Amino acid sequence: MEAGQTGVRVGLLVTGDVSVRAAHSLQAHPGVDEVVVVGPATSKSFQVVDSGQGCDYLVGHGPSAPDLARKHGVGLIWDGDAAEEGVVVWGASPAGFAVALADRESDPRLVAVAHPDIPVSDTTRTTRFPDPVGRLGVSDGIVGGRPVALARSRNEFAACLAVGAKRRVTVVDHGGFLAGIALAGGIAVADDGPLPVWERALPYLEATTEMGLVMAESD
Amino acid sequence: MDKSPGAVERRGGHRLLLVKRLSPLIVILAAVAAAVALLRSGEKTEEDHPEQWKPVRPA
Repeated sequence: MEAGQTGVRVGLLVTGDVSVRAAHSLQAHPGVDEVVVVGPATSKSFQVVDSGQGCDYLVGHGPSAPDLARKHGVGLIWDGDAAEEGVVVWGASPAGFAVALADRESDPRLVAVAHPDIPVSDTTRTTRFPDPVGRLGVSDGIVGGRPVALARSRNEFAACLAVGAKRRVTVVDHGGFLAGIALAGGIAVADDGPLPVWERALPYLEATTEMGLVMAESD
Repeated sequence: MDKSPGAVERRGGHRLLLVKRLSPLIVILAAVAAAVALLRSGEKTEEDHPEQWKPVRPA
């Protein structure tokens, strides 16, 4: 969906704090006409509806979201790592965002993400993230077929990092804020789905920066 | 105390022997101290001189 396109109605599946944060970012996005909460729920910020009928897309967080979306029969923008039936955009997460960052770099050598909600058990080495995240133990993960170093942040901040041949690119922000926008940014590529965010990395990254994330580079 | 000339030479010889025996240990300790200082200076370089980040747009 391109910025400026109108008439899009997005339904929020009540699946946690991340999806609520995503809804607030979507409400301010120029390409979205209306955001509603698919109940049962109560909301001070959004209209609550009984079903996803009339919604162009649903937005949801976590493992329960795809099943909920299938029941409503509406395509889901999701922060899971892999395709599932009924999901039009997946990988709309901090890890998927890091992979999208790497996709725009020449010869990416390291993709890493640190977030307070990432469960990390066995760390095999350390990676230095920009402050205030700092140096953390990381474990090896695979996202979108690409090796990704995963770390649990020691504070409330999160960082996505891609190290290429010529530069390092990063986004550092409050973990909840970053996760919410990473999910909301999936709306930018939903019309091209089903696909992961890193397959249309540029419009996805552009949407997330329009929603408030700040990318930075270092030589 | 034996103050004969020969006795002074013997005492001096003992001091020389002690220095000779300790010198490898002194060299090793000095090397270890230098290595620790080098490692700690490396940590300081990373922490005291963080990377310079500048905002950039997706491209």
